[in-house]
Amino acid sequence: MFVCIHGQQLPAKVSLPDFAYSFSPLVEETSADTVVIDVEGCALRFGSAYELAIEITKQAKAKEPGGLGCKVNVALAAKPDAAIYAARNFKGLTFIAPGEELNALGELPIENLISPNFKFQISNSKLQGSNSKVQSPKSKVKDKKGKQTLDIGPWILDDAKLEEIFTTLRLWGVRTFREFAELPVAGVSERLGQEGLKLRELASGKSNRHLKLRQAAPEFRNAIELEYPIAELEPLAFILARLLNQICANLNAYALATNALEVELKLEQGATHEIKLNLPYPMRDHKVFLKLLLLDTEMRPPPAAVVGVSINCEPVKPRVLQTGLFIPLAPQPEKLELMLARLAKLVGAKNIGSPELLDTHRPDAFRVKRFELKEAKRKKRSQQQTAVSVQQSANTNQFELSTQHSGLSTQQSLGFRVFRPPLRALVQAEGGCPREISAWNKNKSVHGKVVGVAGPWRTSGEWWRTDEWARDEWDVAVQGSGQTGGLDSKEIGRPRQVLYRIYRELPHGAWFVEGVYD
Amino acid sequence: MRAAVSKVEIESEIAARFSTAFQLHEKRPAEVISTGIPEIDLFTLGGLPRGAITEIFGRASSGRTSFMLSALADATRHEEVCAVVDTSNSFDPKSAIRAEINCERLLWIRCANNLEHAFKATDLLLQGGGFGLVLLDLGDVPGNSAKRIISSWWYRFRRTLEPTPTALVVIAEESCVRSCAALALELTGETSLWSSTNEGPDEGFKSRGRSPVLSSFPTPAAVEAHCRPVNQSSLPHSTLLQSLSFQVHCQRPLFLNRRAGEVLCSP
Repeated sequence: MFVCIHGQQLPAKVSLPDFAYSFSPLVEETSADTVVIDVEGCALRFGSAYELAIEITKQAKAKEPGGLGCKVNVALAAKPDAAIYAARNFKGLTFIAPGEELNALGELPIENLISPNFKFQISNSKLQGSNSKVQSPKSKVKDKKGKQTLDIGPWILDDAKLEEIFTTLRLWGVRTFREFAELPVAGVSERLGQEGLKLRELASGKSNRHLKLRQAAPEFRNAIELEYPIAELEPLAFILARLLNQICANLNAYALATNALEVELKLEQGATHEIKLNLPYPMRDHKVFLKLLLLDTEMRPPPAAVVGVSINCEPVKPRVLQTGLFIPLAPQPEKLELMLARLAKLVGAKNIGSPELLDTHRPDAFRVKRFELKEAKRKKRSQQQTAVSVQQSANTNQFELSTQHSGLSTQQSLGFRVFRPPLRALVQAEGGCPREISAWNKNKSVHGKVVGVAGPWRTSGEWWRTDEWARDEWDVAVQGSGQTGGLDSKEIGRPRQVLYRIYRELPHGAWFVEGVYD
Repeated sequence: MRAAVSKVEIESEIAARFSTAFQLHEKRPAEVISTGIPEIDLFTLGGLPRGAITEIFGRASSGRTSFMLSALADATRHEEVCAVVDTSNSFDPKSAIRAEINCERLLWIRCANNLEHAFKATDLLLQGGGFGLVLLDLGDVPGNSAKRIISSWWYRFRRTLEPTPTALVVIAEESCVRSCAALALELTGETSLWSSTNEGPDEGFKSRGRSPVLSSFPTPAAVEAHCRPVNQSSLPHSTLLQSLSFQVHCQRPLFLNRRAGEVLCSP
């Protein structure tokens, strides 16, 4: 059963929804002057539905706090739309027994079907999750083509269509709800379409639907004030786990996730310590969040004991990933984040990531950016099958072909190993060209005779900065040198050459070994 | 010595009756990941074994890094997620880009010459799972230090890898993984092809073929006269060294008794 309260001349200070919420939490705020209450569960407190309707009427007249101080129309019906029609059209208390909707509403004029207030009610019944938004009863919306439309029922009905239906009904001599409800369904459908059918259902009082209840705005924030300061990580972990568990449960309830978590730790001296987790993918696993926070806290411990913890997160839609048979495996996002956090703790956050070249000619200019795994591109099945067949043929023909690879059929990219920092070298040069080189540090040593050389190649740039560079680069083949040690026994008697890139800084003339071709 | 001879004699006598008893049974990899070098793929039964350790060792300028870049490029081209554990911070991003590695799918971990960090990082990567190729670069670690790495690390890696599709490749100067490696390849630098630039300082700089030797040296004035800023030229620096070729020797597994193959690398 549903109780509809309709107040036409409500005082400005009172709120009809607040009044309705004092009877039941299941309230649909249909419009500013109309609310519908689902009486289910109110029996223990107010008795039957009829007793509840009487109580509402009494309370509405009362002027003390909690009452409206005015008369309202109250209607009780088995269908919410029938209750709304009755409350809007009949004064005082109206009770419509189940199955008697048409008898009660049958004499109402047909124009009341689309009274502005009712139009708004129907449109609201279709809106999902936006009940808190208040619209003007006569609000009109524009469709994609920019056409003025009235939002009624499950359909968007434009003015012209609505006018056409009611013109037709007038021409047919249909004046009341009853006359409209007694029309055959098939005929109405043929002549007025689905919109006409919906209007007929409303007129017969058989339209049934769920109430659109107002839901409290979800809050994804949790905080706790501690009775005593915490100076160790383990008890702090318990506090964080509790708060995170609640937040993740909320996220889970709303089918949301988060990719930004902010933790504020209140410290003893009144200062605060903030931890911000920015995740590449939305997650809602409280265990992962806890481990990430603990790893971060271990790396950057707060300077004083913690007396309060506050966690706030930004809810976003969860990641939807379509996997495929032909997409290679990739680390799971949660595991990847944990692993990156552990690696960052081990070697430092600046030492892990994806390399990215900078837009400059400066030698060895790069930056390490955060490693974020993007989804693998889906390949066409034909390409995959081709790759598989190539690999299979490689496996099957290996023995025949292995004898033929004495020739150089393919060329690979030549690798280069950079010495960071570059080795300071002593170079003997003849006419500016290196002849003998000697360089060493704790781990590496380069020394020997230069037997091959190409260069120099002069580079310079960024003269407007204090750290400008200008140098001559050489590729040299050094014989008899060991990068890390002496000659192997197998290589004794055989000249060994190592290819280095060396350079001479032009302003100072100092020589360095930049790296080795490998 | 006497016992050894006796064993050989006994084996030779009963080998005809129990031939399979004296054959080496080594586990063959079910899946492999391509190295990107067809010669080596054919040479190693399709590529690097997944779920196992592959060891690539050789001296400096033996082609280890070129091999590494090639494998990474091929793996990232096939959308595999790869990781490089760079023990000595020697990874060159410019070479990686030139080798057409998709750096978006490459995790680079710099360990600043800390061997312990490198092994712990590798362990974390393998435990995390999901990587197609993990490269542990010990190329600049002295051979003596590499040999002192305790075997339990390798056993641990091998055990962790077994149920996973990850291929772990260890780049080293000398062989250090020992029996834990399912595949061990020794690389030996062979020839290097040199060329100077056309705008080079002197013809004396140009030398091609094996063991290039300078015939004459230019004067400083000639050097100054022919040098010009790289930013004004379209010729990249790397054209100075045209190519490097290396030999590949398979040390393990024993059933893969292959002769060396030769690979040519060019900048």
